[in-house]
Amino acid sequence: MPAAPSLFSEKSQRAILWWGIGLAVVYAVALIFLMKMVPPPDADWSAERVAEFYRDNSTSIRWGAVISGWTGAFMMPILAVVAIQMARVETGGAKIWAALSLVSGAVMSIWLALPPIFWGAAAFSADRNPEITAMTHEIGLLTLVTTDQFYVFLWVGVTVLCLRPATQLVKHNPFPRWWGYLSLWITIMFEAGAFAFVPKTGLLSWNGLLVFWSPLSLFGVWISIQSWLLFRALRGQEAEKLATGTTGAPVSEPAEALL
Amino acid sequence: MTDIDLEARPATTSPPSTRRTRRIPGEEGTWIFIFGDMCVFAVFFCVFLHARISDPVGFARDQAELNQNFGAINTVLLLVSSLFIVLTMRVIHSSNAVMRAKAPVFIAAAWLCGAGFLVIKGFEYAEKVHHGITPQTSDFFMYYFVLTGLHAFHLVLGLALLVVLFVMSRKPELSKGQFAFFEGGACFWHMVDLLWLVLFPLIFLVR
Amino acid sequence: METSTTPAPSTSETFDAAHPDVRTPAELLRSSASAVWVFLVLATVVSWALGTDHGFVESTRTASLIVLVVAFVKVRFVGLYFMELKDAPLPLRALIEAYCLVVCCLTIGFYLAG
Repeated sequence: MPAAPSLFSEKSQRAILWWGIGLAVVYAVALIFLMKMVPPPDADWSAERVAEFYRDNSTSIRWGAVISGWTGAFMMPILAVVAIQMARVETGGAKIWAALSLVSGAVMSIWLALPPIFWGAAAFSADRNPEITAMTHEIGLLTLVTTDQFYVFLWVGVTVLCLRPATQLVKHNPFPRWWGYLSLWITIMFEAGAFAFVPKTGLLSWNGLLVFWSPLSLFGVWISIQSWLLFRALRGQEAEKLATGTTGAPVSEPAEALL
Repeated sequence: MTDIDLEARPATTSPPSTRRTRRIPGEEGTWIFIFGDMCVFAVFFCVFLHARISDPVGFARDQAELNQNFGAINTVLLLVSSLFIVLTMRVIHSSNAVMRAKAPVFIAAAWLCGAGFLVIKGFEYAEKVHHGITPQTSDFFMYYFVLTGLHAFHLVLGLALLVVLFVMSRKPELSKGQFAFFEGGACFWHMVDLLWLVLFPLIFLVR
Repeated sequence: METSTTPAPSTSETFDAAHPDVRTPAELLRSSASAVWVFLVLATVVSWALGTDHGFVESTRTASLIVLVVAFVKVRFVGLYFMELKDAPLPLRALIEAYCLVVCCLTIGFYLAG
């Protein structure tokens, strides 16, 4: 009697993905409602006004920082699953694009976890010299919006695999071709973030359309659609495993000869 | 929207009737990209005009410093460039080898027009900086530099894409998947033209 | 883009409907896209004249409104004839028409508010 196929990997991937999504939602709620950074204070506020903002919201911001301390690394679980699925479809030797995405996920987490730490520190002794509070606040916001390049590595990897013809031959593939175009577009939209060091008002200031609103919403859109694609692909992978009754080894290993 | 079959598959031969069949130019994904970009620029058009409401005098004064002739020449350059891409799409399936061989020539011509646009834009920026005008001068010039700069960035992406199309057009045959990419690339180039067709009047001409 | 290793069928006869076989230089230019192109260049010249006091319309407000409407007519023509959306499936065709209409109305609205 053949052993039942093990669905440990697929089940784990699904659980880890939900873990990441849950953390992301809590992080977003803390960012919006506790740290009050959506929308962020204007970049041309005086130091005194910034200090007042931190004095008024000291408790809320510090609790926001506490929650971010538990949730800030939400991209690590999400991108671990993305990278494993990328490795699954990346045929032809070393899984270099999957590796790049995994590294990207690990390092971008730093830039998502650091800003709440800076804001928490600004609120920690909000009665200090206003200039120091304002400086800490600025470091926090600029860290959040100007660290685009870490996201770009991931999306270039996803784009390459989506647009590679061989990927589309793999069954239950979470990287359809149209997703490559969308990821590429989001990559380009993200590049504006680093400009935030220059202007204090307008489209490219740290609360501007191109630096804050479009990256923030596109980031959410990307995570949502990619998660949906991953869940759909995982369902297919499980069903296929159960149907063919194999025990663990990848079933749909595509022909290496193709590319 | 499911995955597009990129490999060879029996091509659906069109019926000999003269009726045109409806088809998507390029790939579905290309249109996500193109309409995404067009919508973002639509937001910019509105943001620009919205900013103008609060300071119409300042906007009019700053706009008078722009050189409309540079903008008009650039519009014509992009239109010529687009025409070359239209011609490319017309000869790419020609059964006449002489006509077919014109495809890479047309793409090269389109590329040169695009590069010409960038050179003129460079002169334009240099003229502004020479007069001490930078993005920090005023709201109008911030929008002027950001919007035209973003458009120029798209144009640079388009020029890189045209190089890919140039290489592809030299192949004797394109597979169905390759042709879809080729057509999508052509549409992206038309989008660069299309955005400028609005940006030029909006920033340079509307008073 | 990577190339496929499997031999592809000749596409020459595949896209007859959208891309007729162009055999001579005369056939090359004989298309609605060429006519559209001439219109686009003329419209550009007219817009430039209206926007630079070479115009024939007294009120700058009227001139600006004409310039804006002409711009979106041009956009529509580029979409329909250059991007070949004229023969695209209806949703895509509707998307470009709606884009021109909505964005044109929005910009005119914001312009008139200023």
